[in-house]
Amino acid sequence: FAYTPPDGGWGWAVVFGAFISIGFSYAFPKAIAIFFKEIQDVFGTSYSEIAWVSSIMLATTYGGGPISSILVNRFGSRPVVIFGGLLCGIGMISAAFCTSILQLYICVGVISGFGLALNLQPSVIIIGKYFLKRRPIANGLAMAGSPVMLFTLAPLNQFLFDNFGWRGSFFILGAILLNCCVAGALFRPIGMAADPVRKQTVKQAEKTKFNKYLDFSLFKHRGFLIYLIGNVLMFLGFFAPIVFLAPYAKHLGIDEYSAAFLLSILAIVDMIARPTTGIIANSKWVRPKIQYFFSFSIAFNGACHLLCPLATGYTGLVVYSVFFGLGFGMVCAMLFETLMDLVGAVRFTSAVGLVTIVECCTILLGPPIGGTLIDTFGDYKYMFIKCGAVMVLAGAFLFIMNYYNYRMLAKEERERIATEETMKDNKHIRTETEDGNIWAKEKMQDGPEVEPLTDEKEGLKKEVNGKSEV
Amino acid sequence: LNSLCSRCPAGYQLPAVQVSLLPLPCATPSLSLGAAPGSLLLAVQEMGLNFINISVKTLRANIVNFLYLFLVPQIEGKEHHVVSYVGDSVVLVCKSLKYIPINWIWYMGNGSDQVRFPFTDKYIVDEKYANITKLKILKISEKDDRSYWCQAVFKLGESKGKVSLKVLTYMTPLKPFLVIAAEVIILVAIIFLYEMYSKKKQMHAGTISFKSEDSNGVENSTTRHRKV
Repeated sequence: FAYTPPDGGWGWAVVFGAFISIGFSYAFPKAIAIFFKEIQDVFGTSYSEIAWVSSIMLATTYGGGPISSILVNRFGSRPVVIFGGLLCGIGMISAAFCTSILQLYICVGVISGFGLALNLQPSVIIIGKYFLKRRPIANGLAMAGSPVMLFTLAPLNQFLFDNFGWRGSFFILGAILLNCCVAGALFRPIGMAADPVRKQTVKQAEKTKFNKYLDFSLFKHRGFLIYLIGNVLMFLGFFAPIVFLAPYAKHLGIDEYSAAFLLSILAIVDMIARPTTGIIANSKWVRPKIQYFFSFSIAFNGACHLLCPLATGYTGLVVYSVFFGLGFGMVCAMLFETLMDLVGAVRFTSAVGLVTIVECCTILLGPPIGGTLIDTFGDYKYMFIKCGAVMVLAGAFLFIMNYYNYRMLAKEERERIATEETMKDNKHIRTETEDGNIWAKEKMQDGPEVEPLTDEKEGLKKEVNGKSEV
Repeated sequence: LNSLCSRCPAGYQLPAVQVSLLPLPCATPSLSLGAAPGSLLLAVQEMGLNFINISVKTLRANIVNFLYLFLVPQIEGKEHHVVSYVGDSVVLVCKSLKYIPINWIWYMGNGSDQVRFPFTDKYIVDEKYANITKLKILKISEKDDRSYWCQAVFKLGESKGKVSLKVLTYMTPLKPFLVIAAEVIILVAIIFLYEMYSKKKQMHAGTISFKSEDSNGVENSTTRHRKV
C-alpha cells in the first residue's frame, strides 16, 4: 500500500455496495429457478435442460473471474462493476424476448452470468482496498448480502411471476439488476497511485507485462497454493447438501412447505452468522490465526453433514438446518478474507480471479456427483457422508498446512528482521518491493494492530498509530 | 381403496353378519369382509364411485346404516390466473391427483355457456401422462383472455378444473421497468454529484489527498514506509 486504508468512513458505503453486488451474484442464479417450471412447459424441455440455465450462469460467474481480475487491475473496480450491471440488465431484457432454450442459455446464462462475474470479484477486491484493521467485519457484512438477497428475491420473483408471467418478470428483473450500477457508483477509487520509483527496481523489471494484469506468479506462492487446494477440495461437498435438503426432507415424508421452511431457517441463521463471524474473526485473539478459524469452520460444516443421516424426524432436520446455516455462514464470511490474509490486498485482485476459475469446476461437479450417489444407492445418506468427509478432510488439510505456513512465515519474519538490522546502518529506508514479501509485511500488520508494532522504528510507530485513528 | 371400520361396544359379540348393497347404476363394487372379534371391516375396491350405501344386518335385527360418500376426484387447475403476452404461446395445465381419468376434454367459456374446443392449429393438447393434460395455445391475442375448463371423465362421473388466462401487452411490465430504471439513474447521479461535491470541499479546505506527491522529504519517506 502507498496509503492507509480508511477502515471506515466511505468504506461503509462501499460495504453496502458490495452487499448488493455480492447478493445478486450468489442469489440470482438460485432465485430464477421459480420460473423454470413455466418455461419448461412453454419450450417443451426436460427439467435438467432448463436447470442448465442456472448452472451456466454460475459457471460463467465463477469462470469469468480471471477476466474480471484483469479488468480491475487495469481499470479499477468502479467501471467494471458498472459495466457488469449493464451487462446483467441487457442479458435479462433480451431473455424476456427469447424463443428457445438455447437463447436463454446465452442471454441468462452467459451474458447475465458474465455481468455477475464483473460484479462479484471487484466487490470483494475493493473491500480489501478500503479496510484492513476491520476487514473481517467488512467481509462478513458484505457476504451477508447473499442470504439476504435470496430471502428477498425468492418471494419477489414469485410475485413478479404471478403478475407479469415469466417474460415480464425477466424484463423487470433486468431493470432490478441495473441496481448493480448503483453499487458500482459507490465504489469510489482509492489509493494505489502508480509509484514510478518502484517500477524501476530490479525485481519489478523481471515481471512480464502480462503479470501486471494477472499475477501468475501466485502459483509459486505457498499460502495461495494451500488455499487453492483446500478450497477446491471443500467445494466438492459445499453446495450439494443445500441442493438436496428439500428433496431429502420430502423423501422422509415431510410436506413441501415444511421442507421449504428448512431452507428459510438456513438462510436466516446464515444471515446472522456471517456478520457475527466477521466480528469474531476480527477480534485480536482470532485474527492472527484466522486460517485456523477458517479450517475449523469447514470441518464443523463437514461434521454437520456427517451427522445429518442421524436426523430422522422434522425436529432433527430443523436442528441440522440451524447448524448447517451456522457453518455455511461462517465459511462464506471468511472465504475471501482468508485469501486476502494470505496473499495481501495488492495481489488479491489476481488471486481471486485465479481461485474462482479453478473452483468453478468443483462447484459444478459437486451437486451432480451427489445426485449420482443418491440415484445409485437410492439413499441420501451416502451423499451426506461424501460431502461431510470431503469437507472434514479439507478442513484438516487447511489446518495442518496453515500451521506449517504460519511457522514458515514466522521464520521468514525473523530472518527479515535480522537482515533489516544489518541494513540499518547502510540505508535509512528499506524500500519495499513486492514479490513475496509484501504479504509478510501485511501479515505482521494483520496481527495485533491495536498494540504498537514493536518491529517498526519509533517514529513510525507514532505515525501508524496516529493514522489508525481514522 | 377405501375402507370403513366400525367397532361394537366392548363385550358385544357379532354373531353373524349379512351385508347387502343397494345396486348402483354403473358398477357393482366388490366387498371383502374382515372380522376381528367385536369389529367389522368392509373394504370397497372400486375407485371413482359416487357413493355407496351399506347396511349391515345382524341376527338380532340391529341395522346399522352407513352412508359413505365418495367424491369424484377433484381436478387441480390453477387458482391464480396464468399470465401471458400477445403473440406469445402459453401452456395451461390440469392435474388429477391419485386417480387416472379415462379422458380429458377442454372447454372454452364465456360466462356460463361453454363451448367445446375448436381444434385448429392454434391449440395443441399434450397428454404425455394420463393424469396430466396440457393445453398449449399459440399466437395469443387479447381475445384469448378468458377462462378455460378441463374436464376429466371418470368411470362414474366427470369433474372439472378451471384455469384462467390473462393476456397482457408488453406495455404492462414497461411501467415498473421504467420506474426502476429511473431510480437507478437518479441514484447514480446523486452518488456522483455527492462525490464531486465532497472532492471540491476537500480541495477548498486545503487537505490534499495526493500525500505521496508532497515534496516534504521526511514526510515522503515515512509515508512510503507506512506500509500496512
